[in-house]
Amino acid sequence: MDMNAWKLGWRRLEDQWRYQYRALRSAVDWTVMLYIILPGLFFGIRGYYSLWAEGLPGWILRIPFTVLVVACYLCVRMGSIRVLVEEGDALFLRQKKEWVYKLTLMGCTYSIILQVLRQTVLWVILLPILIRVFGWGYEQWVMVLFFNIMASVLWSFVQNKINISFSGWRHVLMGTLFTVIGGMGYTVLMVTYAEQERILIYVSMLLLLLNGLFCWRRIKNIHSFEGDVREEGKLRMKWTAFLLRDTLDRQPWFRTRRPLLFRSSNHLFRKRDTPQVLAESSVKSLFRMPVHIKLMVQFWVVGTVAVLLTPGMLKTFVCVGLIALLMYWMNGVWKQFIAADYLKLFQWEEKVVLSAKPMAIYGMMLPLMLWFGMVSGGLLFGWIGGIVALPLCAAAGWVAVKRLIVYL
Amino acid sequence: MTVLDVHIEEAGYEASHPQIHDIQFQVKAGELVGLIGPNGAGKSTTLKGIMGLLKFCKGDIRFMGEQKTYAYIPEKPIMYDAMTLWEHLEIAAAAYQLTTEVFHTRATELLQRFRMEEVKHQLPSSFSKGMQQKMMLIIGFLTKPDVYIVDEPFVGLDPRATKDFLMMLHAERERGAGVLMSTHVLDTAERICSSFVLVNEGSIVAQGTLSEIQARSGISDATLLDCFDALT
Repeated sequence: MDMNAWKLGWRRLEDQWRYQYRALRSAVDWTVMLYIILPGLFFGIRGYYSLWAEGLPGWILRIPFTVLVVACYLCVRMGSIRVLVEEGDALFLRQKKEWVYKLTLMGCTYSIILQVLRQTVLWVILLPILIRVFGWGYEQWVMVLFFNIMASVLWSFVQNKINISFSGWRHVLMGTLFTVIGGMGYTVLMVTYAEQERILIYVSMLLLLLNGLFCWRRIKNIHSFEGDVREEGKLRMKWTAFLLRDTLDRQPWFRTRRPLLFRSSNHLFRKRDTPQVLAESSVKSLFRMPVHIKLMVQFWVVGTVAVLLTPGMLKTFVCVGLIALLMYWMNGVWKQFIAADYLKLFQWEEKVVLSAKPMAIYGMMLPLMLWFGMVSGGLLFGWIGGIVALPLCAAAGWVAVKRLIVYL
Repeated sequence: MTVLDVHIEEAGYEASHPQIHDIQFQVKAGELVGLIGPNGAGKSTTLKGIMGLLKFCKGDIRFMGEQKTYAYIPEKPIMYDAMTLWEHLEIAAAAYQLTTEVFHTRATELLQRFRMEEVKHQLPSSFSKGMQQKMMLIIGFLTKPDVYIVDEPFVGLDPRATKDFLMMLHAERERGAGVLMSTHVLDTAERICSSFVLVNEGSIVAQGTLSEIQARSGISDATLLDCFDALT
C-alpha cells in the first residue's frame, strides 16, 4: 500500500476538517445562518471600509492602547499545538519513530500556519485603527505582527507542555501562573516597546529561537503518548464540544475520592425505610454534582434578581412562580435518578418509589425555596417577614409537592 | 428444589429480530450453572431476558425460591457518580428491605472480606476497575437472594478477590442459593460449575453435567473447550 507519514498526516487533517464540517452542519440551521452570514459579511466589509475611508466614531478614538493590548493577548492565547496522534497508533505506528517525528512535525507546522493566519487577520482588522488613531507606520505594524505571531506560537508550545505534563489542580495552577506571568510580560512589552521597533525585533528574534527549540523538543518528545492522545482528542472535539456545551455534562476539572458534601455518607433522615433511603440518595446526589450545582447557582442569581426587581406584592407571585419552576425542574432530576442503570439492578415496588418521590423533590427544592421565600418576605415586611416566611414557605412547599406530584 | 425456571421461546431487542430461541433450563437450589458460549452467542441476551430487561421476550421465567428474589452481578460495574460505596450498599439494602442491624452486620463483614472497609465513604467512580468489580460482588452478596445471576465475574478481579468470590459463592450455594453464571473462562467454569448450558447462535446446543456433555460430544474425558468445539 502506497502510504507514508506525510500522506497519513494529511489524511488525518482532512478527516478532521470533514468531521468539523459535519458537526457544524448538524448543529446549525443553514437557512437561518444565511440570513445572518450574508448581511454580517456585507456590514463587516462596509464597516472595515469606513474605518479606512470615513470619519472614525468617537468611541474608537477614545480606546486606550492598553485595552487593545489585552484584547490581543486573548487572541495570542487561542493557539494550540497539534501532533496528529491517535489512540490506535499504540498498535503499531509508535514502533516507527520516523513516522511519529514526521507526523508531529506536520502537526506543528499546521498549528503554526493557523496561528500566522489568525494573527494576520486580527492585525489586518486593527490596521486602520493603529494607523489613524495611534499614528503607526506600516513597518512598525509588520514588526508588531511578527512579535505577536512569535508570542502566539510560544504560548501554544508552553501550553501544550503544561497540558501533557500536569493534571488536576497542578494543571490549573501551572496554567494560571503561565497565563498571569505571560500576560504581564506581553502587556509590558507591547505597551512599553510597541513604538521602539529595534527592541521588539530583538525580543521577537529571541522568541523565534525559543520557538525553534520548543518545536525541536516537541518533535523529539515521543514519550508523552497518552497525554498527546488526550490533548488531540480535546482539540479534535473542541468545536463539537463548544456547539454542544449546553447539552453535555462536563468533566469536573478536579476529582476527589470522597465527596465534598456528606463526606461520611451521613444521613438526612433518621428513619431508614426504603422510601427514605431512596429519597435521601437522590437529594445527596443532586447537591454533589457540579453540573446541578452550577445550574442551581444560576437559578439562584436570576431568581433573586427577579424578586428584587419586581415591585410590591408582585414579588409574591414571582416567588410562587420560581418555586413552581423549581418543582418542575427537580421532578426531572428525580426521573433521571430513578431511571439510572444502578437502580435497575434491583426490583422496586411501585408504591415505594411513589412514596419516595415527594420527599426527594421536596428535599431537592428546599434550600432555594426557603431562600426565595425569605427574600420575598424580607423585602415586603422587613426582617420579621423574612423569618416568618421560612416556616410558611417550608409548609406550603410540602403541601404543594404532595398535592401536585400526581400532575408531574 | 428449583429456584429458577427459564423457558424462553424467543427474545431480543426487537420483535422482528429475535436473537435467542428455545432457551430452556432450570437452576436448582445449591446448583451453579455455567452459561457458556462464544462472543455473540446470546449469553447476555439470555441473562437480560431472565431479568425482564428486554423489550421483546416471549416465554415464561419463574423465580421459585422462598423469597423469589435474585441478585444480578453485571460484567461492567454500574454505579452513580455522586454516591459513596456505603450509599450504594444502603440503596441495595433498602431495595431488599433489610433491617438496619442486618445491613450493618452483612455490609461490614463483606467490606472486610473484600478489603474495602477503608474506602467505604469514597466515590466508586474514583476506584480502579477491579475495586469497582468487587463493589458489584459485595452488592450482590449483601442481599442473600434465592438466585445469583452473574455475568463474566472474573474480568478485572485480582487472584485474591477471585478466591474470595469463589468462597462466598460456595457458602451461598450451601445456604441454598442457585447461581447462573455466564463466563468465557472455561477452565475455571469446568472446575466450579455443577452443570452447564452451552449456547451458540442464540440456541442451546447442549446442557447437563460435564460427563453428560462429554457423552453428547462423543469425546470421553474431553475438556469443556474440546466439547464445545466439537458441538459447534
